[in-house]
Amino acid sequence: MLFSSTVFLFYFLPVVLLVYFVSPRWLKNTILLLASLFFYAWGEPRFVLIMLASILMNYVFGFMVDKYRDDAKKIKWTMSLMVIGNLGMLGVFKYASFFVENVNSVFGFSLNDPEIPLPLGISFFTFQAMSYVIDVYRNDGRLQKNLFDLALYVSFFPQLIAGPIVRYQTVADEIVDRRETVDDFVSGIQRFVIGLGKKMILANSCGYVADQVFGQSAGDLSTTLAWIGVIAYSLQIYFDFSGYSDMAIGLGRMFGFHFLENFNYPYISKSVSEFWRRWHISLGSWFRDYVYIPLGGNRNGAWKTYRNLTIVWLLTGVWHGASWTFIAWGLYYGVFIMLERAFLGKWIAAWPAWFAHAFTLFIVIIGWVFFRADDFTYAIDYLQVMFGLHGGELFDQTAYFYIVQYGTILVLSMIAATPLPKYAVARFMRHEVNTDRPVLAVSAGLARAAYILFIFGISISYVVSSTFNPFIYFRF
Amino acid sequence: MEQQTKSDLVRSKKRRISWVVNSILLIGFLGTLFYGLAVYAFGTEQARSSSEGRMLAQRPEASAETILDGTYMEQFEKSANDQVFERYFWIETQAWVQRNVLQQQMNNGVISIDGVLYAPAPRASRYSSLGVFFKDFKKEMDEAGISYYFASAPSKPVYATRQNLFPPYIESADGANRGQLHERIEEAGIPLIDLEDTLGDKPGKEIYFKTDHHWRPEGAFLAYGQIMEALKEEFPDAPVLTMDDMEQKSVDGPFYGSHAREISMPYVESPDTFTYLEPKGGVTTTVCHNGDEDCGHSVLDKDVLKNPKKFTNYYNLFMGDNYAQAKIEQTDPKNDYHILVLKDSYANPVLGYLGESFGTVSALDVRYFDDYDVSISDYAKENDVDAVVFVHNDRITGLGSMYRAGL
Repeated sequence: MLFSSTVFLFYFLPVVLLVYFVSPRWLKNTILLLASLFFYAWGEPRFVLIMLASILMNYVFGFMVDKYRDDAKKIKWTMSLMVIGNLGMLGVFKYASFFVENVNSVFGFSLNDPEIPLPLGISFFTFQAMSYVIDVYRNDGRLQKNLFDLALYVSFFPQLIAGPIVRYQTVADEIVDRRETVDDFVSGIQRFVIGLGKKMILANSCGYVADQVFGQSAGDLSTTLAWIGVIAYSLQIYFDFSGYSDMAIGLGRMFGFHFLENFNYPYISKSVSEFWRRWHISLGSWFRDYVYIPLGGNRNGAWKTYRNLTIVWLLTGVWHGASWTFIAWGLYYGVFIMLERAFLGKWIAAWPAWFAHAFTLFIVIIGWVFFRADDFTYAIDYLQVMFGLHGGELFDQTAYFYIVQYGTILVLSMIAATPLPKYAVARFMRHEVNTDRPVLAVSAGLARAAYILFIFGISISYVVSSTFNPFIYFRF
Repeated sequence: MEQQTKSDLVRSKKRRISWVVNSILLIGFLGTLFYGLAVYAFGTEQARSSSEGRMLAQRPEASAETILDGTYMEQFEKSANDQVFERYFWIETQAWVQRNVLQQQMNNGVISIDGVLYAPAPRASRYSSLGVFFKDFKKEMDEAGISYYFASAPSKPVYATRQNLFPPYIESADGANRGQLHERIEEAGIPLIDLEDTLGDKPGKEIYFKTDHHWRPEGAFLAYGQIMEALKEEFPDAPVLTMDDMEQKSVDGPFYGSHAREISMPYVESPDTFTYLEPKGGVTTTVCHNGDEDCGHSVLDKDVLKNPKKFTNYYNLFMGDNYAQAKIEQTDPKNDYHILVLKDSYANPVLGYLGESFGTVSALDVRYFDDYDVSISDYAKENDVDAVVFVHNDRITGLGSMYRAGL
């Protein structure tokens, strides 16, 4: 079920809110758990069993690490089994076909593709479940003895299928004891509506342009059109994913949960390292805390640091999808981050800010070509067109059409990808607390309400107008 | 003490403002969600959307099998989308934003130019499948001794292309597509009646509806004249209607055609006035649909005109709608000629005019052959057809495989 669907907005959400808030405190987690399982089962009912198996497995591992914490040998075995169990499950469902395809290709075998369907959000809930066991092991979160509460942590519908990856320590206390307030609920509404608007108005409009351009053979594109396509895709993927994160954070807040931020205006970054501190923060911090630092981080000399970075960025690419283009995309970032660590970072720091911004954006946009392309051949052909190396046109009528037809939305999206709108709104909204001028304060408050409800109305109009609207991050 | 009182006062003011704003947001947000839920749970389901011209999905019946395989959820989502409260209001709102805020000139492939709606084809089509069909068709007809013609109506974007109406950023391959289609027809050796010869220099507003993709019945009547001129040599004694024989009638109320429904109302500057031509003495024919069971219809189905809905498709006045097979017979035959028309909806008004000229006119529409099992060549041979006339607009690239299957 998508947040941006009529089923979610007009059936699932109101029913869950109603039942949740009229239920007694002791029943609330059960209500949320049942709602979350229903939410997950709505798309693909059979995969609920896989998620339940993952929950049960990690529930047992939680007890084991708590019990064997002080027994070095047993805890090593337990943690190894936990990693193998979780990654094994992820590997079977997400990477089996990719593995078979490559084995066949390299060794000339003709193994049958197992054609195992990919359960929605398996990468997200697997990482969350692993986070639980690791946090219990590290004493960053307490052992959850209540299976249903652990199941709620893993399956909680706002973040279940497209993140953010909520670490157990973040919500461990709130699962057991939380208070829902009107202020939190309203703040959740605002956040949800902003996310819905990002997804429906900006991401989908940019996505339409990107799909049209990337749907064509690279040889048919002019250089301008190729740039329009990749810029549109860069905006689409940001607003799609950050919009979904906003909706998840907003929904969580309505029910009294406080998730951490997942995006922080990544396109204003002045280096690739900074970009990754602002983009998909929950994934970056997961790899940092559960892979990079345990591997030794940067504490054991340059060679091991680069080895650790290579492993982390290889895994980052693999996590995004079972394809060599994703792996290349991950390693591409790994290379730039290593270069920045080696020398480039110092150079960039000495550059004028605008040039550092432009350079970083350029690197990121080129990276999206690999992320969006179906295969390497297309990615390379597309890049050749972008740089005028294909011998084709620089500008054509189709590019002219996309500029006229979608120029406004692309420019609006570019502005919305910066903190400028946030600053403008904050500047205006500060009048809301100006009690010396009550009329101004009331007006600012009413303007805020009108703005949110306007975005909500427009977003619904986009929801109703669309019939097919999958989130990009669903299959990761 | 005084300072504390002032501080309490400030807090109290902030709380009141916050309470008002929060209340508005809560009522607005939750009110919308729960209203949507209430309408779906307790409202009456709509059967059909006139604005979209299709049946709306209904709430599905649940069964263990459909729930487990996910089809129940799929059907439920379709019905939820179709039955959402104020569906067309939301769609129009989105189109309004798209046009007035985002400045998008085109919606769903349709563009408004000086109040006239067009759907240009951005890419050149290949007519190879149709080309193969034309050759096979010619062979069959030659063996049966049946003559054949292809009357090719210029579609609305072709007219706009010829008149240079599209702005420079609009890519239209319609002229090129038309050229390719004609090449295929001529390559196969089928005589071409290029209706652009008659219609090309007429003002567009006389030939085409502003808000619909079809030609006006007046344009179709001019095309009928050219077709009859081409058939004159073979059927010299078939009477030909002239404008003096016809009475122009108009329908009260606005007509919003197919393009208006596609592009949505915020893009529509003004509706059409729907007019039609009727022989002064009334029609002299009767129509059967899909065989001999469903007869007694008219080439002008005036029941359509009684539907008061905003998006009533008045173009269905002509022949009632599209059918796989229709047979028009003169109640008092003026001759015993039998013409078979292979057609799309452009041909519908022409069929009524042809019906006044030939004793029997049959029409086959390959797009609907799933509804009624019929073969073009068998039909022509078994029904003593004298000539086969294709009456199509030039946007028929997708019909090649259907024609080949239906031959």
